[in-house]
Amino acid sequence: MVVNRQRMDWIVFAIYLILAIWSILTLYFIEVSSGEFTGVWQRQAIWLAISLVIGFIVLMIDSQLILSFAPLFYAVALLLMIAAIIQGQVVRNIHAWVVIGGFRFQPVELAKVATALMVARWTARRKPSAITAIKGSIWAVIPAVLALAQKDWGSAMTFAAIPLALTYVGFPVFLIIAGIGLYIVLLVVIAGYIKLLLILYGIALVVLLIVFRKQREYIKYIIGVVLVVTGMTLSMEWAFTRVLKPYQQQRLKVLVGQERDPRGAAYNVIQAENAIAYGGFTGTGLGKGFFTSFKFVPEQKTDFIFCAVAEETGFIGGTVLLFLYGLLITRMLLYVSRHRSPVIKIYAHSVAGFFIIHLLINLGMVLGLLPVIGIPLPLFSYGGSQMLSFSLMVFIYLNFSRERYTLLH
Amino acid sequence: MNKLEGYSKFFVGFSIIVLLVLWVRLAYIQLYASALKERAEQYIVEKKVVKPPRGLIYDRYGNILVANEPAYDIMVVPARLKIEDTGFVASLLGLTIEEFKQRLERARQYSRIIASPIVSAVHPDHFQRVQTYLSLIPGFSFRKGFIRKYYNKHLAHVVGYMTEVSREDIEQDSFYMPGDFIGRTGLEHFYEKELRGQKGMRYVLVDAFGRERGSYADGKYDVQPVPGKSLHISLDPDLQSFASMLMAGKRGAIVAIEPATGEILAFVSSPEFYLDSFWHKNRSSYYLNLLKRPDKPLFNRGVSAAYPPGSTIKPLQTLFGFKMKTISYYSSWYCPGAWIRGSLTVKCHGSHFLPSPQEAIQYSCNSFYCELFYKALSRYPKGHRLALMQWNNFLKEFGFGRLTGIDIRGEKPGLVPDTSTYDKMYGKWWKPTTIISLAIGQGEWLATPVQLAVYVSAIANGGWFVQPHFVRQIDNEKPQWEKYKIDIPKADLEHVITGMKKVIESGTARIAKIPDVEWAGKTGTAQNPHGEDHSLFVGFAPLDSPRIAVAVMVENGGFGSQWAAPIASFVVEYYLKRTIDSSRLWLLNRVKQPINYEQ
Repeated sequence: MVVNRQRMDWIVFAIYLILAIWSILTLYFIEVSSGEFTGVWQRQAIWLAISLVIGFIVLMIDSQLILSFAPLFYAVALLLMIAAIIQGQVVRNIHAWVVIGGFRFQPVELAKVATALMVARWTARRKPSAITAIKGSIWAVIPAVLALAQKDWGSAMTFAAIPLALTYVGFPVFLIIAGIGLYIVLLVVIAGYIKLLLILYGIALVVLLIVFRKQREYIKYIIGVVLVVTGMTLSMEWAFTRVLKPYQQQRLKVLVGQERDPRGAAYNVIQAENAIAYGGFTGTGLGKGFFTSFKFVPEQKTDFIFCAVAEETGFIGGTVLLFLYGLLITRMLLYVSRHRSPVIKIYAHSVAGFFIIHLLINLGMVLGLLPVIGIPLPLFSYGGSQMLSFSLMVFIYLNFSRERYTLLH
Repeated sequence: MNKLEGYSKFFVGFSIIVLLVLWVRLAYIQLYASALKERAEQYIVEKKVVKPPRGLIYDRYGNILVANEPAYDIMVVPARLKIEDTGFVASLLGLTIEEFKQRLERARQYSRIIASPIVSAVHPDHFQRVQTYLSLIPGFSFRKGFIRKYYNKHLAHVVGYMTEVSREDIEQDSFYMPGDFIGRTGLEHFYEKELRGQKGMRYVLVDAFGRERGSYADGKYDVQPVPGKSLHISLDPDLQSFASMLMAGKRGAIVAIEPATGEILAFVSSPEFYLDSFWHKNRSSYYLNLLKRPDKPLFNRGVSAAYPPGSTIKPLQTLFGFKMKTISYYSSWYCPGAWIRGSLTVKCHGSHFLPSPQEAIQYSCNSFYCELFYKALSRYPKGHRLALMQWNNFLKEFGFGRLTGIDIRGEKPGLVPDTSTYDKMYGKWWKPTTIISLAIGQGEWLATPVQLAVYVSAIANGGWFVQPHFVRQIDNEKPQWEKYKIDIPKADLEHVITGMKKVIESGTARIAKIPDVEWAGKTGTAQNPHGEDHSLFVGFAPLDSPRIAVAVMVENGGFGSQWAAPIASFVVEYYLKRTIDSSRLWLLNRVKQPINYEQ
């Protein structure tokens, strides 16, 4: 076996380290700016140290062994999630915390790693096809549903990473586009712009009919699709206004960011935007951020940590950070694309999927493009669960990255 | 497997598009949107809570009883604060220097840069002076708020007082923020959720000096406050004032109910306190004083004070006797001035020759009731346990020994003893004679004035339990109140009511006779081991189609006929006739006298 070993993916490891250390520095400078030292950056450093120790242990385990343990790992993660629902601690109205030996963590973070492994193992053993991909996604549906049961919408949404990754095996792309479309339609319905939406459908219908006026055989399909979409939109509207009680509507509205939450979801977004704008091209300088120093942005050490980066290091810092994430994602896919084992390639897609979905939801929120749904910026937000799970994902990837010529399954 | 070459192009494309969109948005915010940047440099967006006006309270006739008056919260931004003379500022705010520092520290913990209240609900009269001085000091600002305005001085135990929220309140309910007020007792507490409304939110631009510079984004994000709901209550304000005047200088309670509906017409617990004082500058010292007073003005005697009901429940015991068939309308037995069984003697108020059930009520003959109750308990051999439980259930139907469900805070269930009560006290070895004092409303039996009023209502309205309540309407919504028929024959009730009528005509409460009004009642005396007995009375009027049922309790008032009966008669007379007959003014003057509790 040793002969077949190839060098580990050192570039991904380097990016990983840079991100984690940058996170600690950012936390440190947030504390410098605000003049309040609560030990956050030290704790994050300890989490990094723990992650590294666990990571090196992971690197010492045989790759095939890790894969063999995937089902067990998956089962344990799900059981912990169920335990959290039944007996877990409630923090910020999310039933997602388990306390073991004085440590509090969210099992859903563990479930992300386990799901990535499980999906890779399961699909790699089957013939790649749309059916395999759709069946494989069910492994992600289960933890997503459990996360919903924990009222943790953000985490549930991150499992969209798996179908996205499984496009590699043949997951129908139109389903993903339809899913995104459905989400947008839902947002529009809840926001109360249904009339606008129906007018758009009408315009789309007219345009399509004009474009395809020569190909008569398509016309019935076009009309059919538009009718189905219209029907779905109307039934969503009906379900939203008639079936749901007013307080449930309100909660959904707040959830998708349409209703201005009196407790201040709008406030977060406004202040985040101001802080980022204040940073400008070069930023205010480390430890000098005006908005950061006065703690204008709530959650600026956790979900909204990007504001501190953007304010203190400006557009330059923000760009570099985005670039690092982009590099991490593409590098993973490209590096293992020539590997022999499909399982490694699928796993790399899943991990990259979790990264990009987290970036989309988190930065989309911070930059005011998407509703306020609290999930962390991977490897960057303050928090042990997140740090550990993403480290674990990366180190398992690093472990696999050495196995270029072996066939794992 | 050979299909799995390379990587998912869709995935890579998706990722690149996502990152590009995020990057372009970042560039837009940081580089292009100069207006955004300018704003960020000059102004800070602050969110300001807009307090909703609290719900109003209207009386029975639709007139306003409790309203809001504008007041001011004094806000402080700790980071901007520059105080030269702390002592002066503190005294201006009505605080000691210590208190002032504590509150400043609390505000500092909340935020150094966002304004939070240091003193809330400052009365407008006082605010003039405060504003003149504090507007010169940087770091202070003012926010509009509300205080309560009361149109009747005798609402303390009905409406209840409000105080500033505590740390626990804020932790329990995210609605509250420091400086908010919360209902602590009475209707203000019971209907807190309805009255408080929903808070609004304004996003405003604030410049570097903390001055407001207009609304943010033309108020696009603002949320309008929703005012609290109004309460329409059944209180008769004139009767309330009159009844309070009757109780001045005494300790006790008056509860007057409309028998058909359970609506409360007057509710007095004496001594009272003044709700207005809870909004004054030195409200905290006023409150502390109330807490320290030996006559406990904060204690709501109408719902929280439980005493033995004494003879007031003799009509009820008569009904129980009819129900258990231990007496008939024509039963009678000789009362030699006491009821004697073995070594046990229960004294009576005199000797009564062969009283019938009606005469027993009329003269409140103890022997009759001891005999009645004893017979009921020993009806079956060794069956007293069963009989006691039957009696207990019968009483619970009338509202004794449980919460009646009155819609103000602090109601106590009182106590109607059952077998377990006595098993605990005596083991299994108790006999009918052990518990015979229950027959005349003494012993372990405890009832609150509101329970007495509910019970006498049930007698007046033909045997219906009605849940006592103040609120008739919340905005336009009518709450549902409990009402059920108690299983007693009409003839029994009428028989008892005739007895109660005789109490007033020629019985123990002759003094409570009202010219031109036929009414019924029953006196009572609650034995008090610590001093003078408590004076009790229940009654209702007029006899046909009763409009008011009333229970009166005067602590240490001696016999029921001494204080409680005349007081009840004035409440009834005033409610029915809105005036007091001149032939009874001498009695009114006597009843108005305070009781000296010093001895």
